[in-house]
Amino acid sequence: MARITHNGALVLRAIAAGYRYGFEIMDFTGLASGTAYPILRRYEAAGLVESSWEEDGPADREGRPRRRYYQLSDQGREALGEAVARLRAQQRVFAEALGEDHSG
Amino acid sequence: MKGPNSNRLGYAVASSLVGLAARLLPQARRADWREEWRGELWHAFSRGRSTAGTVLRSLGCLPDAWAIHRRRRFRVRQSRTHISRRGHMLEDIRFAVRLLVKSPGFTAAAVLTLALGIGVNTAIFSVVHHVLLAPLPYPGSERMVALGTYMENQGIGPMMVSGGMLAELREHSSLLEAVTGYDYAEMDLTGVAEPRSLNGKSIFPEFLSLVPIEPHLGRVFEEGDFRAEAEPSVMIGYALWQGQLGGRRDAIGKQLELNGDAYSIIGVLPRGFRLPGAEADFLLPKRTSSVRLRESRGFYWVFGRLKEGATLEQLAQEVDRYQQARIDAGQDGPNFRVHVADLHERLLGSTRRPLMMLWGAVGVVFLIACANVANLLLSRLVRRKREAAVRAALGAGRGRLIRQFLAESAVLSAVGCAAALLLAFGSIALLKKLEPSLPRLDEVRLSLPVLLFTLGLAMATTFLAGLIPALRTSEGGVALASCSRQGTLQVRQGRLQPAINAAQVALAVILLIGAGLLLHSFVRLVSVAPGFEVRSAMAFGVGIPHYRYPEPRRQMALIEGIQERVSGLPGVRSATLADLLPLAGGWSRIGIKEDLTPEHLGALVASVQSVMPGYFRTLGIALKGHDFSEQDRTGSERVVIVDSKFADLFWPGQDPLGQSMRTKRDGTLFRVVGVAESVRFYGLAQDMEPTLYFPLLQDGGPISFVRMAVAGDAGLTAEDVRSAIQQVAPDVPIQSLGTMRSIVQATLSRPRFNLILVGFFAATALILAAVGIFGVLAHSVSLRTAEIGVRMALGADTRRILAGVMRQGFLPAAAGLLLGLAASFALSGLLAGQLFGISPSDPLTFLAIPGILALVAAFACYLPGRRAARVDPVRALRAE
Repeated sequence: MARITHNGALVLRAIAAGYRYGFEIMDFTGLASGTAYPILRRYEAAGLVESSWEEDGPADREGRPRRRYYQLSDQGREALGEAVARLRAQQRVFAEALGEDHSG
Repeated sequence: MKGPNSNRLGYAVASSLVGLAARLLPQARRADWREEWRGELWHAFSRGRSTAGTVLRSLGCLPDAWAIHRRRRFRVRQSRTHISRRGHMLEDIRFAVRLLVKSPGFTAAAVLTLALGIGVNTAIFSVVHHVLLAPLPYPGSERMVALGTYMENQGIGPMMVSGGMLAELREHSSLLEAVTGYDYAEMDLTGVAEPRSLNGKSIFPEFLSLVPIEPHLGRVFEEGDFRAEAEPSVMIGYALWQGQLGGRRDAIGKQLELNGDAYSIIGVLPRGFRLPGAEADFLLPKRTSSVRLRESRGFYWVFGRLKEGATLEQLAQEVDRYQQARIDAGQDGPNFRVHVADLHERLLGSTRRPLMMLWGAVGVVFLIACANVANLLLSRLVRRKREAAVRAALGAGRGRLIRQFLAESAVLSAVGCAAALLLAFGSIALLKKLEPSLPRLDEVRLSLPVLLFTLGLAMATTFLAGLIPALRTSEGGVALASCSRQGTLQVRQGRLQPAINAAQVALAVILLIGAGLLLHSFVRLVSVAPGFEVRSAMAFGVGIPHYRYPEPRRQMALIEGIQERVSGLPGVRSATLADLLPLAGGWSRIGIKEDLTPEHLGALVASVQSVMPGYFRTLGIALKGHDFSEQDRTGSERVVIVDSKFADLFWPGQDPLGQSMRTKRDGTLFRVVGVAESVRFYGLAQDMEPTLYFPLLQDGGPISFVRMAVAGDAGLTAEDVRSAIQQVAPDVPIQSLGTMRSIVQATLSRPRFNLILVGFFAATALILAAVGIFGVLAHSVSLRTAEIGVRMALGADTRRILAGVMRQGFLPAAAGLLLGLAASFALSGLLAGQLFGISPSDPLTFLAIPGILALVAAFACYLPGRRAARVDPVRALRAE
């Protein structure tokens, strides 16, 4: 399984945290739409995330377009777990730097 | 939308941006993608988010759409190559078969053309392979050599080799692993209801180590059988075993009576057994010791096998030394040389050249056939451009299209190959019947190398014929839109198809010139005057059994009696006997003693015949002086009749009558009593040799076989003659040799064979080339129907249309004709050895063939031209 990018990990984390809609993901991660959406498309094609339309009812009633929401697949969860572990390791490296800052 | 107007505006702007960006996506995905973005945007605007910020965010739809677009194209390209790589060969072939079945006319034409082109090649290659290329079926055959005696100053040879030479080689040669010989054993099968003459051979012991024999029944000769005191044994041939002994297994041990003597049958030769260069009804072991061999006056066909490392040149030197010693010792005349040759080469004789040329000829036919198939495929290709375009639009790559076309031509080749093998099988059988005297013909068959060759040809056809159209179709993009309703394009067949036609015509011309030369030569050969009258004089062979007529005196008496009896038959104008008849095979030569020979001649060898009175009259040979009479017999003055060639050599400018000469046989003086016109004794194309005729009754020696010629009225049959002879000599084997005319015809059999074959190939080439021209031109006309219709509607003359079309078709033919003539001129020298009476640049042939070809080509162009002239402009324009 290919390693996901940092931004990709952010996106997966957002979805795991419950932010399912595209714009919410962008809000949470702080990524621009030009970055986030391509990631979403890629990951969907790779099978890490799955997308579906929200229920029909509310959108029709309100006369607005439906929203599409994203979920993590098993693979996606796996990939996220791996990324988190990696991040933790990286954090240890930076923790010292960060710690010096703080202590400073 | 709830919320401030600015949001509504913002939403409108962002939404249209999304709508624009959506254009980048394929139709199928557009709606969903648009909705997804618009869904988010609506949500964002209606929640009262920053308008500017959200609009900015909406700009992200562009890279999103772009990324999707790029990824999709990449994936499609991947799937394209993915499909091509997955071997769809089976599908291609299945599709090809369906397609070919749907156009039976095209398929039949292509398959027939291929069957013809490949089939004749297979047949001829099987001959070339088994006769020329394959080594002889004997162990160490590449080291086997044959010896022959030659009289170089007279161009005679190869003749049989003396026993002394054979003995010398057997005992003293250090270069030969084994050497052996055989000679003729023409004996009569006696002791049976219908005695007949058989052609056997008697062999020396080493024969079996050079030519191992696997007997069909019984055993081969062993050492003991060759001893002088051994019981006479015989190995009989398969045909003799079947015919005379009914093919029964208990034949072994039975007795066979030959010339009145009993021989014990020890074995049956395998079916189709042949000695190198000869057939044998039976084999006898030579029961003679070395000493007797050396001193004998016998002659043998000698062959042997060199030791490893020994060369032909070394053996030639050794043989030369022995022969020189023999000449010095007076055992041979000074002009008698013994040459050695590779056995295979000797057996081939002069058939190598003609066979290679025949092979070249069929190769030409093959190329023309391939060209026709290529043209057929090219023509079909134009109609299939639409199909090709559709395929290309659906994602088929260039490689895929090429493979499809190759699959089609592969299927055609496979079917053509199968048909070709059938044709080849039949052709080989026919060849064997037409020309049974070809060396090693019994070995010719459809063996593995031949089958592999056929397969190779079929594959070559697949590529040659299939690749050209395949490459043509994938050149450049084929836009769907440019195909008209008929599915045809403005034809770019332009130059390729006519060029192929020109090449076909050039090749056909080469073959036609070759056939023309052979035909002219054959006509000359047939009209050669043989020197005797080719009437319907009947020829017979009469055996004189030694056991019934043991003394020469009684043999002569028998001969005289037969002549008298047959001459007296009603309907017989004249009858004669002689030891040999012209062109009927056999030869006899004698050396002339030098003492009376004019000095410039050196040692001379003349052909010699022993004849009864009436010989010249029966055969219609012009005679000056007078014929022999009954008085010319043993004891009376020795007389001789010479032929004009001998007379011109011996007594140039003088009257030969009354002159004298001596032969080497016994030095007796002979007086010339007559001069006969020279006869082509050995062959119509062969030079005439100086010939001597002696009275048979004066001959004195034992005679065991005579030939008889009977000139009679139309009603006379061979049976009449046969029963007449049997009244005088009841137990004498009589063999009918046919008429003198049929004997002469038989000598023409090889040239006729060559002529028939080359003629057939040339005719095939001509037809194929003509069909090719017709096909391409007809196709071009059918494509240009609309254009012709327009021209006619505009008032063009039908005659001009016809002329235009014919010109279009004739131009490549003319170009091919010129090219072919030039090539023929250069190549015709190769035929020189086969031609009789004409030169390789025979003007008649070089004028006639182009004329014939021009006529055929013109006709091939006329038919499509006529169709063009008949185009109905209204219908043609409507169809477009």
